[in-house]
Amino acid sequence: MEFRTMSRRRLLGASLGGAGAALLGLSGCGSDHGSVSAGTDHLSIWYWNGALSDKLLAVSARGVPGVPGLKVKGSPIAGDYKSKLRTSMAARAYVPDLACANSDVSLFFPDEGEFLDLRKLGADALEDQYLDWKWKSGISPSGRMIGFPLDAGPTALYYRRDLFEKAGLPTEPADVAAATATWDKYLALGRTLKSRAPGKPFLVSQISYVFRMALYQSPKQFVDADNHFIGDQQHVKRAWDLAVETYRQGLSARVLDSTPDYNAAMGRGKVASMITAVWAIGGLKDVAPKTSGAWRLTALPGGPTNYGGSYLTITRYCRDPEGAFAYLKWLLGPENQLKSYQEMALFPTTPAAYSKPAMRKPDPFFGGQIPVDVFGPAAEKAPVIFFSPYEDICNTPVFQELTNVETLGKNPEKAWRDAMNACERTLSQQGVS
Amino acid sequence: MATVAGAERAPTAGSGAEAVRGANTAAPRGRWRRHVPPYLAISPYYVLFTVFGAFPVGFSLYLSFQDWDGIGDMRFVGLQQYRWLLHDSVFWHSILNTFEIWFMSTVPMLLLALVIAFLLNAQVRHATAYRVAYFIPNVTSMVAMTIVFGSVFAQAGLANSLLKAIGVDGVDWLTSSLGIKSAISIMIIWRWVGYNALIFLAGLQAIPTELFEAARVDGASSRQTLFRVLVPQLRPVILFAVITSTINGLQIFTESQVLFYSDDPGTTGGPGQEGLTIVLYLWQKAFNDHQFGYGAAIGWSLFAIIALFAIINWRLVSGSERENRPRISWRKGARNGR
Amino acid sequence: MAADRTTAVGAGLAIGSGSRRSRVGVRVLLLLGVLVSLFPFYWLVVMASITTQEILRFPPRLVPGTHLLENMRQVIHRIDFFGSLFNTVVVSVTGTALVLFFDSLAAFAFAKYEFPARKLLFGILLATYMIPAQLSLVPQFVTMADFGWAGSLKALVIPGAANAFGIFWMRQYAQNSLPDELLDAGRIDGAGFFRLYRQVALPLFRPALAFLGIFTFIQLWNDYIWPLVVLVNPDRLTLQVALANLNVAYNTDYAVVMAGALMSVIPLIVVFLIGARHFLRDLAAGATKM
Repeated sequence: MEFRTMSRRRLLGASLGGAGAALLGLSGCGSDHGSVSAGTDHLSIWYWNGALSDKLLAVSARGVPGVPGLKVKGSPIAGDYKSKLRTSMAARAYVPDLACANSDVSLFFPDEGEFLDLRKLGADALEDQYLDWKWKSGISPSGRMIGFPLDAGPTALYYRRDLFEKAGLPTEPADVAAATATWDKYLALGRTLKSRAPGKPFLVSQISYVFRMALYQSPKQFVDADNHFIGDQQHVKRAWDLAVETYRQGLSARVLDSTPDYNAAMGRGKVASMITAVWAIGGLKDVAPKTSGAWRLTALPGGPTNYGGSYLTITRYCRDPEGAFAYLKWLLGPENQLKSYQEMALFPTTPAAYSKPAMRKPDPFFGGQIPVDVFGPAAEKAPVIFFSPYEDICNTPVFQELTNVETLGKNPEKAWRDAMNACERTLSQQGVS
Repeated sequence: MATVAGAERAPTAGSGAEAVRGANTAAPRGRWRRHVPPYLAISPYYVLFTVFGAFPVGFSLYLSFQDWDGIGDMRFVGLQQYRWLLHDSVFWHSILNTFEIWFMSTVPMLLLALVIAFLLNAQVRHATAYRVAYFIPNVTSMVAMTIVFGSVFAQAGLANSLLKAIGVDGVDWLTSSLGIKSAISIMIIWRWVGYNALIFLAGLQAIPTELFEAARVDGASSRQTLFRVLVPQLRPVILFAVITSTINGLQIFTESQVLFYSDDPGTTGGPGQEGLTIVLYLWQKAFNDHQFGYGAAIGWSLFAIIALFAIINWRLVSGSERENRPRISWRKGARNGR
Repeated sequence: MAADRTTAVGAGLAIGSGSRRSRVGVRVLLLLGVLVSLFPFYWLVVMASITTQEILRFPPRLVPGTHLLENMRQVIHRIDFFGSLFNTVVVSVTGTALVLFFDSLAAFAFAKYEFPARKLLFGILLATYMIPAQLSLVPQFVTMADFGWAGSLKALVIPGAANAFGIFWMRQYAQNSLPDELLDAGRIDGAGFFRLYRQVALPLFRPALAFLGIFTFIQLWNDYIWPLVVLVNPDRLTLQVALANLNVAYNTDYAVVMAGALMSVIPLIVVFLIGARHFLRDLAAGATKM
């Protein structure tokens, strides 16, 4: 009895001691420096799943080719990526050496000092290889280049050829493009589709896509270069009205992205078209594998634009800026952009790649169509858009109100007013009027 | 070992102190030396509280007068954050949501818990097994169970499948105001009903048997027994549960956050932000939008609301019974989350 | 704690006093409640053991399938499950040990010693409880950043290593269950404060420590908002945060997310079941005693 108690107590003591040692040991490393990779033999890069090629990450984790001794390891970040990056910068701890930044890279312009100026590391020499509008968008108003072009997000109309056919609509990409040249024609086609195709499929999964695409076709967004709110003007209202009209005509399946209901709707053919960027291909293949071969691509209603596409940044905590830039050059050079496209559908920001045989492979998911035939021209013709650091602040309430209209049946006029009020109020907190 | 509530009081703080006999007769220097060990023993709490409790609270006040994104420079804005807060309809919406969810969860939960307590009290065999079964929801990971409930309440989820099976139309659990609040409330009820039932049960079993016997001897009816004996005797325990639930309810975060967590911060709180609670809004403003000053101001507003409730509760409790202060503290300790 | 009392009180109430029929009724209702209480766990097992396609199917599949191991393998492949489990265990175990030690020590002093400003200090301790933790979510994060503790497990353990609730609760217990005579006897043998604590008080505190220990352990294990905010190093997360991330990053793959949820739920349930008897008894005592 005595013996048993002793041994149990000893066991407890040992496990407590072990856990305590682990706590101290684990927290011992890394506190007086900011980089997450401090004390390791590699640089660290943060990305969200799908932002970088897994294969190339695996290569650079073993050693970046052509740069002896340099290893770069990736950490996938889940959840709201930019918040986590900013939170680590606020903590001044565990900041990565390199970090992907999404299409809202302008959000970081007010804190541009947190990033290294890529021009000082030699970026200028590479400029002519990249899409012009993309290159410019990574440079802050003060001229500091913090974001290097990673991928682009040219957009297209994805459509279900089989459902179009059953509805007696045009089926070939060129014909569909002609039939959906304007937003009004697109909605009209949606009405036909819903009334004639089997299962009464919807035109879009949710109306926010209509708003987003229509807005991105405008060079102006919510706030102009002089820090004035212009979101209540015609270029935004027009996009809003189009989205509301889509809802009024019952052309939206009203399913939010990445919900079980979205997956079910796509898988069961309840949604017959999508207006989105090239990077949505992977998700579509995941949620609707059975629809393979039925989809086609063509030009976006109302003209080409870009949606999304990311950047690579080097933070001021980077332990080896030259090494990091060498890695960036390797990862984002035309050759590896091509590989990233083949593996991850990351659309190259180096237009020379578009004519390479590797990019011109037919995709059986799209019935043997060559996607770059649609996305390539869209990428090259995308408009130059001015993004202020405050676009997210305005996007949030506007998209929320669109969701309210769609899912809660909120009065669209009231929703618009509420959205505008929310924008103006939040912007005034940021010193924008 | 349990002292019975309402019948016998726990000894007050003074009684233990007499243990240190002869302390007063010692020489002054020796007396102080004698006091060193107890001071040492209690010091960790005060040290930790000063560093991680008091200092951040003061700092919080300072921050709420600043505009700061956590990275760049602070900008003093005076009372501007509070002024914005007063005109922030989302903030008021979050308060309303919090109270609605609190009400929708607490009232049914406490009634259910009372019923379960009575049932458990009448059930003699396998008593421990029943208690364990009812208590288990309270010890499981909230994140995991929110994920489970999220799938149950999806448009094509189990809840709607069951409704469909009995011929009822599906409910927009996660896309309508009432649906979202019901879903969150159901999660809270599921998690806390067993906990409160056991608290009630303990209160029930602590009632001296003699009271019931006396009532029976006096010829009281069941109903008279219920309202004259049972309810007054259970009152402290019920108040306890009400206050625990209030404090938990005002700080709901995990359920709402996990339910609508996505890569897109715009989904926080769900459609129409009908699931946006005060703490979730605080988190969103501070750690999604990086408005640290605004987040601090929301924190102080939350404090004001909780303090208001604490005062109301205090009044209720001290009005009903003496010496209830410790009970409040116990409840606060029982809150979930951080 | 009181099967005898149960009958006695039950006899005083209409509900328990009754016939065989009402006894059956009680049991049926209770079993119904147990069903509702446990069903989500069953459902979790079902979803974790089938494929995502089956989860999305209508009508839903109601019995477990055979994909559990495959789904669990996927969880381990996609998140650092064992790493975050290890972190959670480290935080919960060290945190609980520190709380038990500091709280019982302080409680012993408050309950059994007289010293200047004792009442005032105890009053302050109670008053500090009025402050909701979320009030200082932002400044606590900033404080941790200034300490260089952001991203480290220390940030989860140290700030709560001694807490007012535990001290208060243990003090109540100490006053009621630690006889002064025992302490006096120890003093006559020449024992000082810390020896009395270790040799006399601690053994008698055991039931209270068991309750406070399980209570603290569960809280630390399930803590979510604070780790979510302060663990800025994505390579070192607790189970709760890792699970939430799995849910966000692989929301198209329910079966895997559910397997992750199941894996995160099991360890805590096991800990609870081991200590359930003590815990439930002391929970009841806690509610009525104070």
